[in-house]
Amino acid sequence: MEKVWDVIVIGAGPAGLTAGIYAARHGHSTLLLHNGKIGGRALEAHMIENYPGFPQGMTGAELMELFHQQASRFGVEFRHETVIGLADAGDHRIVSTRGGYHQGKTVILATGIQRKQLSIPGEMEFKGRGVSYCAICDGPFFKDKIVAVIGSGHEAVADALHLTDTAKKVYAIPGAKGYSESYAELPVLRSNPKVEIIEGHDISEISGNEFVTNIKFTGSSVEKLDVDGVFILLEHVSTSNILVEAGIDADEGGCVIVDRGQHTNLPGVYAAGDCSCTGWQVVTAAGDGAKAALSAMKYLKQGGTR
Amino acid sequence: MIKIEYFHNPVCPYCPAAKSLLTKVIEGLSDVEVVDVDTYTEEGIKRGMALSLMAVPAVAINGVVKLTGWPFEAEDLLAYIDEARVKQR
Repeated sequence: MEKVWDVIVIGAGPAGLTAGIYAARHGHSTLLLHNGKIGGRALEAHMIENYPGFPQGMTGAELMELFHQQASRFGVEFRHETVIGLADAGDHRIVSTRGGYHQGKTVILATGIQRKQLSIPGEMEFKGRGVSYCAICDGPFFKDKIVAVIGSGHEAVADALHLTDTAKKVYAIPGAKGYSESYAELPVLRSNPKVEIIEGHDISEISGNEFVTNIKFTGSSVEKLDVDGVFILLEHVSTSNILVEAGIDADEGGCVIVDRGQHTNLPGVYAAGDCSCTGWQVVTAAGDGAKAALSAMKYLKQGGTR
Repeated sequence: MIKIEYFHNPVCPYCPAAKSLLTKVIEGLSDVEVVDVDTYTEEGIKRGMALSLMAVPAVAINGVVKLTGWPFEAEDLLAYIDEARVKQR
């Protein structure tokens, strides 16, 4: 008979890893499927200073390596496979991947977010030739250059600040929405001599020749800025087709709808972390992952009832 | 011999997928050698910038950047390898 896992976790960010730690530590057979690097989007954080227990802070990569070690220690089985489908088979769930399929009594979705694109002229044309979606990955290529950071979220603020370490000048462009004054790094960003914040206007075009040379605005006193790089750091959740096809309820923004126990509308299926839009922080994702695993364990204990 | 430089770094979330595809594509190709270039090292970033690289993951074939950013397709990679073979004849 084919193996039926107690818990299948989809996603290897902080939520997925924490769910794995909780489930495996309680002796449940736990399979974690991932199609990227273990650690997910948290790997892009150049410094995490607000994760409790680490007063000096650490990089996202360091913190995720610790999560990974802890999950491995409890016996989580990691497999690098892309999930292409999820179906309910009554007493268990079937997770299809490009390499085959797996069966699980419960499934925890920790699929994270997909980045939103600006969808303006030049964005796709100059992708990899000045347009980047990952400041920590590609920032070193822009040493002593001029860059623009597009986005109004916390990540955009933190990454604009991070890019001042290497770039000659950083234009921070939150768009018409502006920044939330609650971001702790905002005063530091505003006072950094390398940073110029352009608020109130949206970028309308990215132009260049072989590489990016400038960005344009509409309806702004600043019509054009000469830049070498454009970092697009818009946060957005988009429920993948897989979840939609599986019949998992999501809200208009694409966030998977969960209750306080991280239950989705499907029995035995839970969602945790950024895909359920509950905080955008490593600590909240980890908390979600723990709650999802606890709910899954309760479901298992009760023989498949909520 | 065709030299493929695979540019990556430890924080790039898409690099493992790119490496996995690259490994599959070059499996059994005896005229191709792959060199890993970590752009988080001084030498690696210098090499990347010398090739006007601006993003990872990226693949350069015989010193020319052919693919930048993820995703890229196996067919494209194979086509660039074929192109390099033709040039070397």
